[in-house]
Amino acid sequence: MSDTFHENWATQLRKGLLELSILNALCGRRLYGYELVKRLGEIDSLVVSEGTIYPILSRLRSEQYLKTSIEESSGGPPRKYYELTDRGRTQLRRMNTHWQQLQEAIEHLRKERR
Amino acid sequence: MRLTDEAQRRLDTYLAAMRSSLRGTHLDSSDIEHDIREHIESALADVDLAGIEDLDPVLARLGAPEAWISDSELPAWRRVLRRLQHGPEEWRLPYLAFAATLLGLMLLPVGIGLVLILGAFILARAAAEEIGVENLGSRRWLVYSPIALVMSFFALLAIIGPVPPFIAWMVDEPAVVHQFIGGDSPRVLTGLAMAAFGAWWIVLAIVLAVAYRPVRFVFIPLTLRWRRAHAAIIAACGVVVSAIGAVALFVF
Repeated sequence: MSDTFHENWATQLRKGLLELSILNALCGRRLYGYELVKRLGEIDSLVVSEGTIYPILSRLRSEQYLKTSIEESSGGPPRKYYELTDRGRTQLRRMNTHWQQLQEAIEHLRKERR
Repeated sequence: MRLTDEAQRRLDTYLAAMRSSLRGTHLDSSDIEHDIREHIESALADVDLAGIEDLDPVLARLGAPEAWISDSELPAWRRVLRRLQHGPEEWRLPYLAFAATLLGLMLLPVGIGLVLILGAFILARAAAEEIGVENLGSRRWLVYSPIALVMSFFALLAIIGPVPPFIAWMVDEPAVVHQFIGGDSPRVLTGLAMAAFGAWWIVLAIVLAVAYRPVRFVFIPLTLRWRRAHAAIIAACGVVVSAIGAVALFVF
């Protein structure tokens, strides 16, 4: 029962954090999809299904937080590079601030308990 | 990227499933398909001719496309279908019960509708037991309707009982009525009908008072407030209607 609860909680948390992680991963650099997936995959248990990233990328692009450019690659297919737009950078700042506040508030609660 | 025929068929099936899972959402499926193809090509860049043994691990890491989309991104009809297919029993049963009710009502003229409505009733009762009446929340709109429908049908049957055939017999056999009651005027027939209804309701009240637990159980949650004392109200109605019938027969 508690395992199911933990699993559901972790899934919800992961879903919420994926967008923040994608925007942060693209902050100040351009990455193509596969490269981005591999980079996020380095964060333990953040990416369970690699395909989950692509609908999020598509949505972030339709929200104009990301823009894409296609470039030929020497060792494979043409690659679609993702990068932040100005709007995306502004949104990322807001999300990071919010995340920071949440972290601090939760940490404060934990300290109170000790 | 070159794929064997078998791997190509596997990829086509996977992409078809992906397009299907994105249908009805605001997401651009061709954009995502382009990304997925690029992802697979990048993952298999070192393989000259990729077979199914190369492709399958890549698809496994990508995961099932239907899991990529959260409920909030799906249109309402897809959310309902998803809950029916994969949802927990606490959602599946109410949706199934309601769907069977609607289908049953539409197919009532054909005859099978009655069976579907009875099936919906059983599903709704199962849902009420599984979830708990107090936890139904907004699902009560899905669960209550088949129970209310079947309960109304049986309540109507219980109220009219065997009286209509008795009235039909009286109308068909005026001589017998005349012999026993001494008249076959509309007043006599009305009096007889009322007396018959009253007598039946008294019998019904006794049956309900004796068997009130099973009756209450069958139609939970709509009968949660049903008490044995409520049978007395039905009995009282029966006594009043019988008395009016008797007055119509013998006093006037």
